[in-house]
Parts: sequence; structure tokens; C-alpha cells
Amino acid sequence: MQSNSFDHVAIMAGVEVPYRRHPEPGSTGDLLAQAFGAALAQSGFAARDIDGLGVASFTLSPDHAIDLAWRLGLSPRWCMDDCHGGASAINLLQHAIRAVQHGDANVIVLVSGDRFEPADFRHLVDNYNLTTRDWLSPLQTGGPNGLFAMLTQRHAKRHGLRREDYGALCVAQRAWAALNPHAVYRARLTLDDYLAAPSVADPLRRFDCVPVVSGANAIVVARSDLARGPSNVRVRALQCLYNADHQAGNGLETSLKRIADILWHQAGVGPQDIDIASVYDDYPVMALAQLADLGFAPDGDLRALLARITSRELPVNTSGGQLSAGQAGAAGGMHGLVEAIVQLQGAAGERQIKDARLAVVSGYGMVEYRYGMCANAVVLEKAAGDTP
Amino acid sequence: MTLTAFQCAHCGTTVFPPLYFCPSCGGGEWLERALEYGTVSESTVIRHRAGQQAEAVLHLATVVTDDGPVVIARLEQPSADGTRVRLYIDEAQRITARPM
Repeated sequence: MQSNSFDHVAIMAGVEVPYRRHPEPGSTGDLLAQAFGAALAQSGFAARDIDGLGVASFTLSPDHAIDLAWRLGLSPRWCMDDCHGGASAINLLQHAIRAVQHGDANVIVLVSGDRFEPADFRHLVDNYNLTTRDWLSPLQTGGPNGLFAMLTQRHAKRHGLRREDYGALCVAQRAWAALNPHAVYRARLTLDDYLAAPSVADPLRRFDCVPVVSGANAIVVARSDLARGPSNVRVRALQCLYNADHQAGNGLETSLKRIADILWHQAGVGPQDIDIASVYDDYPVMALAQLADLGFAPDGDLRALLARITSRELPVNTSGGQLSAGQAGAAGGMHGLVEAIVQLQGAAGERQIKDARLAVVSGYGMVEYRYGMCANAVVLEKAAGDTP
Repeated sequence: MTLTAFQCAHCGTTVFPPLYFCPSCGGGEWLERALEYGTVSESTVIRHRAGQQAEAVLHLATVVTDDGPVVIARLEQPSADGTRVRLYIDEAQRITARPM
């Protein structure tokens, strides 16, 4: 069989449990279970139809995917834990597609999410991995803001950008968030507000850093002939690459740069054909880096790219992105994927992109030492025959 | 305490933090190498940190060492990009950069 085929499999739901800055009482498992239930409701499948479960979460411990499966009443034939942070959703999707195509499972639910109390978040950032525990936590950096502050300085110097340029992306995303009833931050943000916000780590200020929230997302990946709903999404291409430079570079390019050509070749379309892009926006600099790596700034002109984003000629992170909708831990990697699915389903309400047919979604994350070591991307298409 | 990097005994690639196998040649034997001197490529002042209230600011730097590896270090004092520094590990296990 053709190893690069994405035939006979479709994405049949994309849901979000509303993100909250201050979580309601409960557990991470509660949020994941809500996401699971919402995904079933949207897809039309019953729990007994689900024979695969994939889970990404930082705070589900000591439980794992199989424990969640038990609590959900499932008897999965395929079960997977994932720990790729902002790259986890597309990583899970890569495996789920192949499991369905090869008959290891027929209907897989992928869930991701976290519930954070302040102490949970501090524990996570101090113990993110051994490198962090050994070499960054003693410095009391309190998370990756300082690392991405310095990365932003390098990026600004290389591309001749000013703070206003990064701010333009944040302001544009906030304007999208105003149209998303689920976004945590929806109030209008002006460039002056952005520039006047309190400093976090020079040059980053408050609106450059994702707000930590609690929440969850889920999608359903299944054999396309089993579809129960009217509105499905198919995958045209998916590529992952991790540790492309072994943390020996400057972090200004993600591994998307190395997989972009094969991604677009596999998809049979190019950046110019894309109706909506969701890129992992832990910081505005990384959103710009991913878009550039994917080929959205072919001449290297990031200001021209920003102009297309702010004018909405290129709709980017139409949920408001994590910068406005919030970053719910491991759900961050699925947030943009769900937004793209919702847009392709024609279900995005006030922020719906008219006639959206093709989307690209990228994941990025897992800072080993100085920047993220994981990146991946998927090109999605509204399934043929669907009416808008 | 001296900060130690690891040089591949086969191809000479120097890495920090330590790895099991060399990403360049696959070699698994390493020689210890002191990382003593470097240059600040960027620095920042962290003014707000998760879970900490009203603490002293942290001056953090990216230091390109003379031996190649790039490390994240605490700056003893604010220093401009391009400042030469001497690196050491202090009693709190912090990689620290002292401007020269």
C-alpha cells in the first residue's frame, strides 16, 4: 500500500471544553471526560463504538490513558499516551490515522487538556524534563518566558522587526477572539495597550505570553465509511520532525522549515491555496517563525506577512489563538487543530471564513533546553460532498 | 565549580547538556571539557515569574561558549550583548556568568 496515503479515514469531530482562567472544582480527568462526551455528541458515535483512545495531558498523573479509558467505560483495542506538548495533537493524529487505516481501531477519540492550580503550573515548569530540572530550575527562571524573550531579540535583529510588529499579531488575534465566545480574553486590545502592558522579560510584555488556563479539547478520527455526521474533514498531508538541530541552533527556525516541501508536495497544494492557518502561538515570535517556515513569507518579508494577517487576507489563529483563548497545557497543541476543523465544518459562527476548504495546522513545543524541539504540521480539507 | 561540557571522542563535537550518543557521528564515548569562557549573545531581565511574588529580578543570558555549546546562565550583573564572561556553577547549582 502507499505509505503516504490518507485515504479511508476522516476527522469527524473537533470540540473544546470552554477554557477557564480559574478552574472550577474538579480534576484534569473531569475536563478530559467532558471533552470526550462532547466529541461523541458531535460525531454521532456512541461510547460503545469507540475502540481507540489517545491522551495528552501534563496533569493527569498518576493516571494515564488506560486509566482514563477505564473511567470512560471503554475497552480500547488501541490506546496511547502522548507527551509532545504543543506538538502532541498532530503527533497523536499521525498515529491514529495509521491505526484506523490498518484496522487496529475503527473509531478513535483523541483528548488533551489540563487543569492547573498555580502550584501545578509551577511544578510543571520546574520539572518539565531533566535538563530543565538540572540546569534551568536552579536559575529560578519560572518557565520559558526568559528563553523566548532572548529568542525574540534574535528574531527581531535578524528580520529588522520592532515590538509593534509582534504586537500587530497579538492585536489581530485578539480581534478574532472578540468573535469567539469561548475565548478567555475577548476585550479589544489596541497596539497602545500592547505596548504599555507590564514587562515580563524584556522585550516580552504581558500580551506576548500565553495566559495559562484550564480546559480540554477532543477530536474523533475514524474510518470514513462509518461517518454519522454531515460534516467531515480529511487529511491531505501530515509531517513531523523532532530534534532537527539537537538544540545546537538559534531556535529561529523550527523543524517545519525542513518538512515544508514534503508537506506541500504530499498535500498537492501550496501555502497560496490555504484558506485558514492555525499555528502554535505560545509567543508571537514562534507563530511568525512557523508561518515563515511553512512558506507563507516566500521572500522573507515578515512585515508583508503581518499585513496579510492583520487585513485577514490570510486568516491566522481565528479562534484568537492561545494568546487570547488561553493555553490549557497539553490542549494547546489541539486548540488550533480544533479551530481548523470547526472552520472546515462551517461551524465557526461569527468568525467563519467563507467557503473555507483548506487549512494548515502546525504544532510546536517541548522546550528541551533553549527552544522547542518538536514541530509538525497537517493539511486538512473539507471532505468532498459536504455542503457549507 | 566548573561547568563541564562533553566532547565526542570520535568526531570532536562538543555538547551541553550531556547526551548519550553524538548527534553528528553516533559515537558514544565522551571526553569532559571545561566550559570556562564565552560571550553574551542576548540577555533579558525576568521581572515576573510563575509562583513568585515581589522577588528580585533575574538577569538571564544566552552565552555562546568559546568551545561551541550555547548555555543559559544567570548574569551576576546586567551586561550588554557581546560582553565576555567567565562561567562557573555557584553553590546553588546555578550556571553563572561573571563579566570579565
